[in-house]
Amino acid sequence: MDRQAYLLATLDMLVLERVDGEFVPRGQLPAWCLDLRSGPLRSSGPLRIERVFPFLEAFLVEAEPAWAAADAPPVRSEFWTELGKDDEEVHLEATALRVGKERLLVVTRNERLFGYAQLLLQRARELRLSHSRLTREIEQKDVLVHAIVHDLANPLHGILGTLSLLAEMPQPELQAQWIQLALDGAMRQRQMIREILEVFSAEAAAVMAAPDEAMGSDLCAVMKNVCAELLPAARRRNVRLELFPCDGGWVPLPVVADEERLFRVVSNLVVNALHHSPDGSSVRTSAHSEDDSVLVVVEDDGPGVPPELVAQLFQKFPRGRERGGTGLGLYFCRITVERWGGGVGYESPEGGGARFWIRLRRAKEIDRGEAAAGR
Amino acid sequence: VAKLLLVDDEQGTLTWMTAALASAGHEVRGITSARAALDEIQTFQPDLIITDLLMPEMDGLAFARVVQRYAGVPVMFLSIVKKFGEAVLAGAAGYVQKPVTAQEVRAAVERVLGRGAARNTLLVVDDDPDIRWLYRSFLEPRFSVLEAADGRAALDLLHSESVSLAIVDVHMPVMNGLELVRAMREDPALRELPVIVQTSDPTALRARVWIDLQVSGTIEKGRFLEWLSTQIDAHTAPGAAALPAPHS
Repeated sequence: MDRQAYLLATLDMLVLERVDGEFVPRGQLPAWCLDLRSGPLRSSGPLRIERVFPFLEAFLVEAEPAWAAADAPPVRSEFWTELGKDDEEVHLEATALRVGKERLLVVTRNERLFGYAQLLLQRARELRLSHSRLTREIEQKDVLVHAIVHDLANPLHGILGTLSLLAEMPQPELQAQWIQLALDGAMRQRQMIREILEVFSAEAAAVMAAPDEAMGSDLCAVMKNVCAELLPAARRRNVRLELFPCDGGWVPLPVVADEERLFRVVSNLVVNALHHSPDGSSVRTSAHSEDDSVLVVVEDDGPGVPPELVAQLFQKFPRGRERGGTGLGLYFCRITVERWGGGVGYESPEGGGARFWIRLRRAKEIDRGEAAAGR
Repeated sequence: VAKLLLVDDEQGTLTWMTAALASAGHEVRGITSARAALDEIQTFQPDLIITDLLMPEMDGLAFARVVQRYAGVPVMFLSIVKKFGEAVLAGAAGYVQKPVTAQEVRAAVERVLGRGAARNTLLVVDDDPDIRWLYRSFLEPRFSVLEAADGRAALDLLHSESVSLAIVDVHMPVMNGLELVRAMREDPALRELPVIVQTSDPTALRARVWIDLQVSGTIEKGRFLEWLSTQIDAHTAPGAAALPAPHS
């Protein structure tokens, strides 16, 4: 028994046995128990452990299954922090387990594990941020490639065509020279466009590719990721960010889209909504099942979009509605979602506020490949 | 002199291209939508259709599939985007990348007209003879099919035969699919030849190198025939559901 008590003290563990809803300390108490700011633990007699560690109040309910049967698996709590001697932080973790007939609660001090957990959380935050940066870069490249193809190359086709026809016609010498000059310029421009598209061939391929009907992305997971990333920004603005799952709850929802761009599209709409939300209001993100498509809706309680601006909302560089970014976000949403065979739109709800929606086609299954593995 | 049907959603493009091709002695009609063009084919009976790819409502590929299925008129693509592989499968008789001059359009049209009704030749590169046989029987109604059991044999064939598209497996003896496509991209004569990769190796399927090598598509072997049929057949083509009844 002495050896056991010594062992427990060395491991810095507080072992309690549950007796009639109260807890009785077993063995020698570890040193940190005596230095707690909330008052030292008494070494004998039953006690209400949730009064010593208020953090455990909810955990004791969760822990019930671990004590219910002899062969039940242990239940482990999250980390929590108490203050010790000289306000030193004491990081604790509790495990509920049953050994034979004894129902035990073991409270462990573990600075190292706590450190790992913190590190992991920080890594996760960093990863989310770099993912967000990456999708922003994709957005910019997509818009650039789209502009090169549709706004530079397409008109140039007309310029080259008409100039080359003019050059074939008999012209006075001076005019012929001018036409040749213009034609040479247009040819150089064509060469430049081809070289740029060559450099951005991967992006160009992605922007021009037909959507993969069978292998899609998980809309549910993307919506969760977007909200997780934007939660701190919402808190800073004192805006509640609410997320409503699709009809079936939090189940994978395959839609025709690629994950990185879908993240960007949903993120753009939510950022936009946050940006226009008054203090203390909420932004609501939800998914609604339709026949062979899914509707994603993002609503805010802001001033909404003035009717005269709605028509140009999804155009390049729209005017009006105060801009926080490049003015290309909603434009990117439109060209991207349309490429997937979906749609995007805006409506003014009757009670005020703004409502943006995107409609995505359902896919057969979720692509578990690189995108999924990379997250 | 040939009867040419131009399809492009931009009226300006139609105007100058009509002038450019009419001045070469052809009878030219321009039309701004693929759907309207399907009706026009019946009355005008063109020798060659020249169509844009990116068009609203029905894109050029879907249009070409329907034309191949119901009218059998050769189709030439004129587009900004490079979709050479998809175009071949949809039945393209030619492909010109915009922007182009009047002279270049004329030259491309003469090339296609001079070629006549010759079928496109596809090369299937796979070390499994059963797979080659399967693909051949699937493709032969529409295309001439050549076979090679490895990359080395494929390269030899590509140098002696005129091939429009190569369907390439990844893991093969002697010379694998990656080495083959690399060799093709370094060869000026084969640099632009469209390639479609099909493999059952999921890692190889997703390798970024295929994008850098300008491969038209990478498809999992298990769904390759299904994918092929969506590329070739008008019935299963996306957006082809609401088409007019087949013209006999």
